Amino acid sequence: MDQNLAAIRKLLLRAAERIRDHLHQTQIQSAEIVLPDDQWNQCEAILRRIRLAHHRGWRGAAAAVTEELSIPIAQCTESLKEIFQRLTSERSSRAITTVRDIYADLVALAGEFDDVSIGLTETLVAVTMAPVVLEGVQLGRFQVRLYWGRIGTANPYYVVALAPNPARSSEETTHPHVINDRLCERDGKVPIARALREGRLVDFFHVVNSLLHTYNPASAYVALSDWEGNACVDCGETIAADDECRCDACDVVVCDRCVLTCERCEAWCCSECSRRCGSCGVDLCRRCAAECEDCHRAFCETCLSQSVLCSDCQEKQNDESVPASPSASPEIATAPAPPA
Amino acid sequence: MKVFFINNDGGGFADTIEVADGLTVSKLFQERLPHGAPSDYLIRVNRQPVAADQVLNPGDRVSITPTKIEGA
Repeated sequence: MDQNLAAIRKLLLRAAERIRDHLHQTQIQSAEIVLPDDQWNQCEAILRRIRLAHHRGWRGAAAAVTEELSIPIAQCTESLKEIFQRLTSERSSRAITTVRDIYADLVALAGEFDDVSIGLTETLVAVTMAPVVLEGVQLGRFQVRLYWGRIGTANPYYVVALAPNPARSSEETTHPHVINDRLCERDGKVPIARALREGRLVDFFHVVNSLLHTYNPASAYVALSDWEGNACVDCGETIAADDECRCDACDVVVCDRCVLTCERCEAWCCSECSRRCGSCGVDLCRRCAAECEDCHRAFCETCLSQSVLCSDCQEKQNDESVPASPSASPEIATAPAPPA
Repeated sequence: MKVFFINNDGGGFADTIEVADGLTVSKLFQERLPHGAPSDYLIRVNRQPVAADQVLNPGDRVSITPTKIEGA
């Protein structure tokens, strides 16, 4: 037991030393400042031309060249602003933490989180967070993998779902704010950057943990309300968000196999809101379908005669209005024959 | 006395500050985050959870991290 403990301490100490070394190296690299000499020289060259133009009385030329000066001046200003911001942010940052502090952080991680592992070769500190449940949706455990060798680069850590329950519409989205194992930090961006730059590892993992346990519905890759996907009202199949169609009349969700398109106005319809022409069989929305006044079936305007009767009912009406032949009518008697 | 204070809220802050002798954790919280509720934060002294009335000692490291931070 003591031997194990000694081995663990040795591992943590070695990791702390390597992390400290890397952070120190990163700080040295970022300390190099390059002034915008080229842009400044460009400004001076343009200024000489302006002075020459004024000296020779070429007012128009002077004005034109003066306008040119604004671009390199703006570029110079931006470069100097960037350098100033870097200088002031580094000044406001604490000096890099000591090996002792990093070691204490690594020890504290084991007390704060369920599972902590360290890989010296991979420059990895991996911490498993408590299971995440947001608004009743079980998202499972996430492991935060910090590659200390990449601190100072764009992607020093990943957030990996250990038992993924991704959004139905997007397998890469394992959490409303995690896609392709990348966490979208937003409000956590600055404290994460500072914690990593200063080697405060416990703070880094705590901030990431808080992000994972907070749901921001206004800015999620996939909203939790859509996490399981919607079901088609006609066939009941669950549809990915990208494959959803919505009935233009009643706004229900329909899959792309069940949705009907009105032949006249191209509106999308569910089966409840669609009509089929009783004559030619085309699909219609409720607004474009007309109703026969007699049989009350739905028809397209083309198949309704003068938009009132369908062809069958029209024919029936026509038959009823034609007079019958004399032999056929018992009411019409033949006139008596004249006397001989 | 001096303590090392870390606030992981917003823009973040991590530096040595001067505080009154005998200051408790809860008093420090009230001074530094007057609009915050302690229940919304993870508060650690020397990397350990502590009671609100714990008295701070010189050289203590106090960290405060919101439990809710919004991602995008």
